[in-house]
Amino acid sequence: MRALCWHGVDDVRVESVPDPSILNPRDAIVKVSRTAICGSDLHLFDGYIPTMKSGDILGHEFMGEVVEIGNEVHTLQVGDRVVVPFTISCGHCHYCTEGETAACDNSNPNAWMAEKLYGYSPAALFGYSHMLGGYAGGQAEYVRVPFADVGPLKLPEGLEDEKLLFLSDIFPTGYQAAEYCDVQPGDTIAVWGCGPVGQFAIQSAYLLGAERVIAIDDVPERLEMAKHHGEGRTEAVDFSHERGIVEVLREMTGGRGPDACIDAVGMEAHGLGPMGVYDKVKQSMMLETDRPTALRQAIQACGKGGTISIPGVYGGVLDKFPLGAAFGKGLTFKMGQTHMHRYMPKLLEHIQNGDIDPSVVITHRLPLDQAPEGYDMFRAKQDGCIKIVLEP
Amino acid sequence: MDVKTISDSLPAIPDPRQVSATELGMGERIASLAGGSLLTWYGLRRRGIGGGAAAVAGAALLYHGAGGYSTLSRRMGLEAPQPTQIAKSMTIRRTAEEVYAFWRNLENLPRFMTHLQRVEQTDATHSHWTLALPSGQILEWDSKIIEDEPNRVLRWVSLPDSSVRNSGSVEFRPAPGNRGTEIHVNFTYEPGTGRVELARLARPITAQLIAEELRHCKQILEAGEIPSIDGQTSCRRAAT
Repeated sequence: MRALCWHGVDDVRVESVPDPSILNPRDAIVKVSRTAICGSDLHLFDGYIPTMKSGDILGHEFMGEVVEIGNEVHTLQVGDRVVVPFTISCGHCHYCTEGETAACDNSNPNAWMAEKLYGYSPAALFGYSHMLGGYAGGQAEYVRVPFADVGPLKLPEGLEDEKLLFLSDIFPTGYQAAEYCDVQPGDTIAVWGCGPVGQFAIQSAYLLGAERVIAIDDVPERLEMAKHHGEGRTEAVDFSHERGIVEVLREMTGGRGPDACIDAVGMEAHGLGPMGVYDKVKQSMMLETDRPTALRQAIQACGKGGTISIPGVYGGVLDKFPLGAAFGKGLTFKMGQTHMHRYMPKLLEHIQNGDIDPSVVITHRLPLDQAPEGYDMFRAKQDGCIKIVLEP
Repeated sequence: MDVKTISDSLPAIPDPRQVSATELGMGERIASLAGGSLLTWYGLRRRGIGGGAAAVAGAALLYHGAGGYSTLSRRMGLEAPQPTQIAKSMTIRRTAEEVYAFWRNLENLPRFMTHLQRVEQTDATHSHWTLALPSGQILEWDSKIIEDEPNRVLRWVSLPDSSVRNSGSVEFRPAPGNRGTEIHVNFTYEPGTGRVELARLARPITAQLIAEELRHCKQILEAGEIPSIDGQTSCRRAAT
């Protein structure tokens, strides 16, 4: 089959590889109908995520048709149309049964690696480094899906793939980010990062009852797209505004600051000013692995007693973290990978009810063979690129 | 900036399969390296037999510190080999009855204790254990259960004439809340012929290995299988 393989920094190639096969009794094989490139794939492309091996197949946002099942798969059947969550969860450990499927104890064969770095291992992911399982990913024609009765969500007829694909990651991720804000009536939510996750976080904030949502980025077409949400009432701000984002947000909120701030940017944030230079230098000297520009802004800008919600991916360590400001203002931090299984069915309902059309974030459609060009375009934000969907 | 240099900058992630059970502590290594360097330098400066002897002794200390093994002290008979003792725990979301029943059937152990090839129960309390070395050589011994309190504790020990002298125990305790059962495992491998043989194992029996095997036990009992990517597809010629 054809698959997109990582070979090093800035080096992804589509190659012919063996088809996947059933390796464990709870596996299924899914024939991929649509897949996508995620913002977090860019961290792999840019070489910021350790424990990758040349030849790893990438991709963790995919959907398609079940073509084979293992002996212990009982609820999924051959022929089912499914979307597959990017996190792999066993369904039976303490965390899975508590609904915290991104913390699954049992899905990562390399749990010892993650333990060395983090203390305890989270759930494995598709196509996202050996520390997180080393599972072959879904930017391919076929994927082996472990614990097939637990993850894949069966899809109804009548809705096209593009409307459902983002149940695999970015829609639940944006939704969890908004839910973590503990939205109260009258709240103002500020969202840093108007990439696809940010777009879903903004829409989800309205679904959860936010009064005002302020979208923050510096890419014009992304701010434009964000402004349409909430029936056109989302406000857009450029984070590099000359008056400084903290001031701008203060004046927009009558001197109070936002009630909650979402960092949908993560570890490869654009730097600003001397702190941006500092981050770049330290990162190139391998003294800092993550660049938290957006996170620092969010902490400074957040109103007292507010919440910082972090769906943006961080991998290692960062500097100059304004913990003093967070402590002084009594902020709450909520973060982490998405507990997919909690949200997928509910969000499918929102799509079926017409409350949201996830396909609006798609700006480009490419055949799988052109995925490498897609990575370049997505990273450079060329041609108004916001989200690329691939067809194997 | 390449991934390898980023990878190298993170805290070292030792492969548990390569951590030796006989490594020296850091203090001893530093002392050996420092003492060895000094002695070698001194020996090389002096001439004659004394200088030569000092240089050789210094070089041996350097070897000792750099290699981190206790070969030197063992060869000189200065240090009696210590038994390897490993204590590890794991929480499993099953009842004590279920976990005890799984362990009590000792024939289940190789399903998750991959350093063992086979365990066969020969009667109510005796069992025959088999372990394969990478050379193909098979080590076998017999053990006897010496304590068996259902759902609470299981203890066994190898019979006196065994090639590999070892003992093991597992305690089953209720985990807090609804988290299931905590198992607390203790293994001891005694010095003697068996220990030298065991040192030849590709995967030495270390705390990290036992931790991985307990994780496998948990995975089997909770998820029904051990997660794996062995044999999966990729763009490499060899699998995975």
